[in-house]
Amino acid sequence: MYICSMSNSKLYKGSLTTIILKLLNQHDKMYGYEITQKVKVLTNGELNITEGALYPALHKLEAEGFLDVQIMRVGNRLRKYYKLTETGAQETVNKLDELAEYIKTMQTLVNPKLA
Amino acid sequence: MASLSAEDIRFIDNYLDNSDVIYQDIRMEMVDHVASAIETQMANGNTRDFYYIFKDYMVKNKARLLDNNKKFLRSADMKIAKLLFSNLLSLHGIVTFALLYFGLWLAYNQLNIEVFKTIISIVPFMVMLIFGLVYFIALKVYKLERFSIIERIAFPFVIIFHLFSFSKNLSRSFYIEVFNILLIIGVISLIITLIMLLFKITVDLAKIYRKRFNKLV
Repeated sequence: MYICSMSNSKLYKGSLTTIILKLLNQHDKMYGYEITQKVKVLTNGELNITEGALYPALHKLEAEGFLDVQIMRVGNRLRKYYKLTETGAQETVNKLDELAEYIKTMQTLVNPKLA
Repeated sequence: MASLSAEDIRFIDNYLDNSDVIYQDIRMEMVDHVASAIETQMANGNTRDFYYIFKDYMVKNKARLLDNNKKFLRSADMKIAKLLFSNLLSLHGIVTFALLYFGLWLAYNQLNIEVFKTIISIVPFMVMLIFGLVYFIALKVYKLERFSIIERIAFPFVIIFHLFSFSKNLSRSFYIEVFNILLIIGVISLIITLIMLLFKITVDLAKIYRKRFNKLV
């Protein structure tokens, strides 16, 4: 299981890219471990992104040109920071719109009174 | 927050290297992830020695870390394919192809057919030999770090080389008509262009890696 959650990981799996893009949109730059910890804190431990899911997603976004990379020395080691590119910022908007639409559709299906 | 010593970092790095995470660019990120996780545990009150915290972390997470390694290589292949395609469609890619096409057409018209065949057979072999030699010298003589995307370039290189051998064999039965000659020269020019672009991509990536890492290591 790659995205561990208290409830159902499959429901979160398709949203991993959106989560990463959204977090990077709110911060100038972030590194991998920082992203996992931020998600954990924001969701009160409900969502725990594992390294087996996070890094392939980050590398795919980098290969697609949505993320830029900066390597810095921190203490005794090197750290790879990710930041959004211009196309990455646009992709974030698209992904968030898609997610909002998805949530709206699901709400219509599971709880028509609230929709 | 507690910070791991240089010796601890080296220990993690060696461990991952021995676990087949051979590329520096992938390993660097994993080392930072593992070290950050251990430092968080220490900051949260785990007072045990680094080695024991590391051992427990690896027992729990090693499989996922190594899976990340495999997926990284797939991303590297995708990046190379995109770079190759965009370079081929760029001005220098098109000009290289056009010059090679023109040069081979001239050679075909000026030279004896057997000399022409020898030339188009030798060029890719020479290129492959030079590529291999440069790689060997970089790793063995200069002991440069191994980076994933640069080494993965060998994969499309081998595919292109096989494509060349295939088209060379195919061309044996087509040599007579002018249209077929134009087609064969086009395919050979495309293959040599791709090989040259792979060289260019390798050099460009090596420069990026040097810029990213050499000042820091």
